[in-house]
Amino acid sequence: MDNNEVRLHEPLAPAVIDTARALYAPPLGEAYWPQLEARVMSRIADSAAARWWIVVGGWARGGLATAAAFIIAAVVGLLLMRARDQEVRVAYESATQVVPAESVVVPAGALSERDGPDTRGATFRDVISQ
Amino acid sequence: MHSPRRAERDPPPRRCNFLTCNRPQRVSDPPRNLPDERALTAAAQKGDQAAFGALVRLHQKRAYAVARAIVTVHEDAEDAVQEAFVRAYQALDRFNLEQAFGPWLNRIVANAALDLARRRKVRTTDDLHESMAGTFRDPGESDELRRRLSEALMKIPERMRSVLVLHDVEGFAHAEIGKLLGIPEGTARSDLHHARQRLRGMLQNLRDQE
Repeated sequence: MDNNEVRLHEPLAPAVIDTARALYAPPLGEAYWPQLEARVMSRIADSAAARWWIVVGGWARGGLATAAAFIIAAVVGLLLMRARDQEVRVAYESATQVVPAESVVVPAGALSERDGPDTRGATFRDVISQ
Repeated sequence: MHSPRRAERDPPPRRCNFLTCNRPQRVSDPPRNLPDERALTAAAQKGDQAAFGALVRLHQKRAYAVARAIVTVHEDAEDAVQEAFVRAYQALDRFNLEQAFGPWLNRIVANAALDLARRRKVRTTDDLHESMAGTFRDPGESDELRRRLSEALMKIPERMRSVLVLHDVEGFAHAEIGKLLGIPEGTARSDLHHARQRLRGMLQNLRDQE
């Protein structure tokens, strides 16, 4: 190992290190640190406020999503209920509707004055059964 | 009570010149993870801003040193430190109280500084020199050494300079530097040697100091 190799493993001289330390020191020396701390804490306060708003914003977003889901569910439920009501009403009406007399098509000559009551009754039952 | 004799009290005199010295120079150790610090971190995790303020006070010098070693310019270092503390505050709920706060914070600082350095690649040598010229001055410092060292540091490639400053000026170990800069420990070691070699070459003709 030659001299140069040995020297590469050696730290720099104290004068060089002290000068480098001074070059890399902040302006104002020790008076600088309270200022830096104040600036950092001011950013932290802003960040904490921003964080609070983010949390509240998150809640608001959650609330809005829940409300939207609730509204959609309510509207769908209402439509389903209406459709069901409609179905029930149609079924009820179709079950209770009196068939108008003119809608019954009686084959021509099925009933005549000559037919007796039994014949007319049998014909009527036959029509109804169709 | 007898005071020890001077020979026992004082370290042996060192044989140094401007470029080498046989004793490693270290700044004061970084703050250790004291029980108080853990309590402060736990309180900060629960949203106590005063506790976080105390952590800022404990670690800001070290954080600034890490940032400054990477970005060089004072204003950028300050921006990086502020950004890092905000990121640390926001990530506190993910911090494991069993680990030390300092190294965790320093990695965040280094990342913030590296991000900033990538964004501001266009800094000119003049900007850097100006920033260094405006730093705090020790009245006893040699003007010539200061000027020559400032110029020499600007001529060393960025990463090598960061490694040199973090190791020789701030006292970080190679492994820590590797983690901070995202490079293997061996690379940090080799960067340091190359940086020292270049710096010594550039300061070669300064007068020897006894």
